[in-house]
Amino acid sequence: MTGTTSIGIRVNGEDFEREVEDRLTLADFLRSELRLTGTHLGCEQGSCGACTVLLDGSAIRSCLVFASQLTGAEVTTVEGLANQADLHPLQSAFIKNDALQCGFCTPGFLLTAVEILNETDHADESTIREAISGNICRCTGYQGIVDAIVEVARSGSER
Amino acid sequence: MKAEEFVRGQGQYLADLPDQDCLHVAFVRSPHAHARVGEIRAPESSALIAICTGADLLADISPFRVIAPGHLDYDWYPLAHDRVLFVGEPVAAVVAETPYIAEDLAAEVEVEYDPLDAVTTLDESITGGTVLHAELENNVLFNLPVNEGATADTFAAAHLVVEQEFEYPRQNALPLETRGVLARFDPRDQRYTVFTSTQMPHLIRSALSQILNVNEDDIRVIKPDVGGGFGLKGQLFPEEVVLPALARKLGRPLKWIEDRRESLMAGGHAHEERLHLSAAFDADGNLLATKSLLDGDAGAHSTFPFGAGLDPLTGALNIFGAYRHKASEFTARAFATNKAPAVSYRGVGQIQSVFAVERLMDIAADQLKLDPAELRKLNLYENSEFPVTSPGGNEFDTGSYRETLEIALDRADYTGLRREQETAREEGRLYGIGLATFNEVSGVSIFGYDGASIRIGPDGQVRAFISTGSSGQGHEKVYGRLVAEALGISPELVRVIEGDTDFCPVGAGTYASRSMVTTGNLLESAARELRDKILMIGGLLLSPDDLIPMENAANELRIADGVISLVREPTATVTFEAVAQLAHMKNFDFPLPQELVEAGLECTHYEQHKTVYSNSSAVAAVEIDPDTAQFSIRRCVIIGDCGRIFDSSTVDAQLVGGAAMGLGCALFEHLAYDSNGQILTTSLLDYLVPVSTDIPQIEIGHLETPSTFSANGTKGMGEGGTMAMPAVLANAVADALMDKGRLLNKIPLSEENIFQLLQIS
Repeated sequence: MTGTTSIGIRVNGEDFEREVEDRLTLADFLRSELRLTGTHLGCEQGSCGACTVLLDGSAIRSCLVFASQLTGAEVTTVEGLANQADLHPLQSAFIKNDALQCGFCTPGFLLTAVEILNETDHADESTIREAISGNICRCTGYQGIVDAIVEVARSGSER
Repeated sequence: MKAEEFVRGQGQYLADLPDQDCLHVAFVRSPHAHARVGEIRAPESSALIAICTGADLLADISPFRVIAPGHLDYDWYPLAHDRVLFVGEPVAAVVAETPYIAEDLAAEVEVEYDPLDAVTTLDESITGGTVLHAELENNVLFNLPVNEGATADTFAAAHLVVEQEFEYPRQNALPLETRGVLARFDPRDQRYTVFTSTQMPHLIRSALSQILNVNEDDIRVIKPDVGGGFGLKGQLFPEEVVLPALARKLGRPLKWIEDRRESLMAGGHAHEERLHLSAAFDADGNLLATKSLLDGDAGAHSTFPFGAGLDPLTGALNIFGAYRHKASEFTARAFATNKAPAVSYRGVGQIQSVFAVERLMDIAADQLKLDPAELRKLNLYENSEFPVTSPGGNEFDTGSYRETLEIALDRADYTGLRREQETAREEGRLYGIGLATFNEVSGVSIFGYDGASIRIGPDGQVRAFISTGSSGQGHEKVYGRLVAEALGISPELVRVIEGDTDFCPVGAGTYASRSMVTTGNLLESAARELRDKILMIGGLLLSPDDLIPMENAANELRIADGVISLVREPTATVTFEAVAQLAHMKNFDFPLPQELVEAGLECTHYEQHKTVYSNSSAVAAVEIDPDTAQFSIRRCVIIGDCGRIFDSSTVDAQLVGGAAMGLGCALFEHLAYDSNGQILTTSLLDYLVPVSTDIPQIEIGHLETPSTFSANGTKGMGEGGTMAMPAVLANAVADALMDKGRLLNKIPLSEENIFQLLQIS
């Protein structure tokens, strides 16, 4: 058993105060403490990108960060993308372009894509292909994912 | 809609199931490839709730035998009880309040091992100095010779015999979601509920009932959302036994989620095989006879249900399947080694045999001084020849073997590519073109039949229960539409329910590209039967004195968009919902005759489906950089034919996604062991799979030659793209290497392997 730390963290716009074990990863904190199970763990080695979330606006692997380090931080997970009934444009584009099959990698790709759209104006296909190359999808062959992000980048309708 | 759930992060995969009342399990795994297990000492810790060793578990389970045809049986135990046979084999299970603590404690368990010699290669296993299973005489786990001696005369008289040995490496299907189990035991009704990330809930239930010594009905197996399977989740694993057994013993629900290291080490390997092929040709290039020896490295155990022979047998049964020839003999064997047990992985058996056969065809074309395309066209079955019984004994339904090749060649501009190659060669560049064409076993029904059941409720809500389950194939969308179209109603009224043994009909599950062929057909026939009954009831409402017999219902009545009418008087209508209500609830003004009340609005169909054969052809062009031994893919075309296409976007997605996975198989995927049987690839930094920047543009197309063996004309379509890639890329790389390419006989097409070929003087 390791020590514990009190943290105050904002997740998807809501503030949480929790006492967490020092070694608890952000991914496990989100999943087990907050029951936000949309953040998936595919490797816990930082290699697959499934657990990608936005930490203060940057796409990071939540399996490689400890929750205890994150007092004052702001985190966005896949659950924070949609507005109740309204899907985020990326979520709609993923459905439309067959960018998912089993859906396990999808939350990580969506958060990576949000960062691409936030950081790059009019990202083209090769930029997008490069930017998502840290996320693994075993089902689709990536084409649908690339097409979906390209579509949203072109429409400029990202938030 | 599943896709919307998934993009919202609302999918419920195994790790996401409610687990507030669960204890957590971690496994102590062997660090040795082969060792005698001595004393096991638990850590002294108040956090340790329980530890269970192989010996402890014997009190609660029966040893299990994998009974598959042609297999040599021996007792299998989920936890090693006297010896460990591979690195990663579970030795003990540790239970604690959290997964973190369980893993801490598992690391503190001390196990005495007495290391033994490890068998790590096929040759060591065949030589048999060390025999792994005491009940067996040698390391042969499976051996099936077919048509022995049947080709000797043809080979002796042939104009040309080509012969070559090929190697295919050990690979891991690597679904992004690892495996996991959550098991509960309810003492009130003495029932187990086992949630598991599987492709085959009913077969898991059958195995568990034998191992746990309880009735099948005392076990409910549930498959939640599954984050990819690709064959890997199509067998019984030790953890699926240990968790329910311990949950009962401890009186607490238990959860275990595999980590990636465990998965790469012990979560199911596949594909490793050596193939020795010979083919006899006449002077014109006609294939006369083939002879094949396929030896699979099965790892330490036969796995349930398919057994150790899965890869070599599947490959051998249909080897050279696309090519017309008169005589074939083959032997499929599987050998035990001190590696993780072999399981299925997309392209089972055939990804290896297609690679080897297609290489051999190119080698033969070279010796016959024929263009590889011409040699193939000469020998591929023509569409008009079907149905065909192959010399290996397979009945092929229909196909467009030669036609897909011609279309692929045309689409890729084969003559243009050859011209480009000429120019490249003049400039000293290593540019190669490869072809691959093959047929694909699909819809295989072994180990059980399949079932589909449709139940329409009093409010007209339709539920379709099936025995196959999705792990990303889009069953909910495809089958929802299929049932709705057959019933003549809106897809919004249909819910597809799968993966729960308490509700779904018994069946073999999802593997071998079989779901659309088996449950797709069954759903359609069950829906049609219910539609006719609904039409009869509707007809009675529209014309109360006139009960139309069922055989005439579809002719005299119509249903479209949920509205029923008489053909002879289309203006009067009644709704599907009104009929559904009338079928369930007695209307005093309008009681139905008993013949229409009976059986309600429920229909269940079962069948054993005949194997159907899809086919595909691929063309690729590559250029090798002689300095780095890397190659780039300049062109890649795949034309598939999976019979009737019901949902084109799903079919496209399977073909493209399958090809991307096949690219990984061709280029990177290789589970490596050292000579002591220590696995070297236990992270995604060592075991590489394709990322977005690795995938070239893959051009696809389809022909639709309906199967005559399936009522709906469909054939399997999940694996053709995968199988195509090692073969077509190997041929392209070999072609680029010219004379040196003749010796290209192994996958992966890694820089290391290509570099070795470049060094040949």
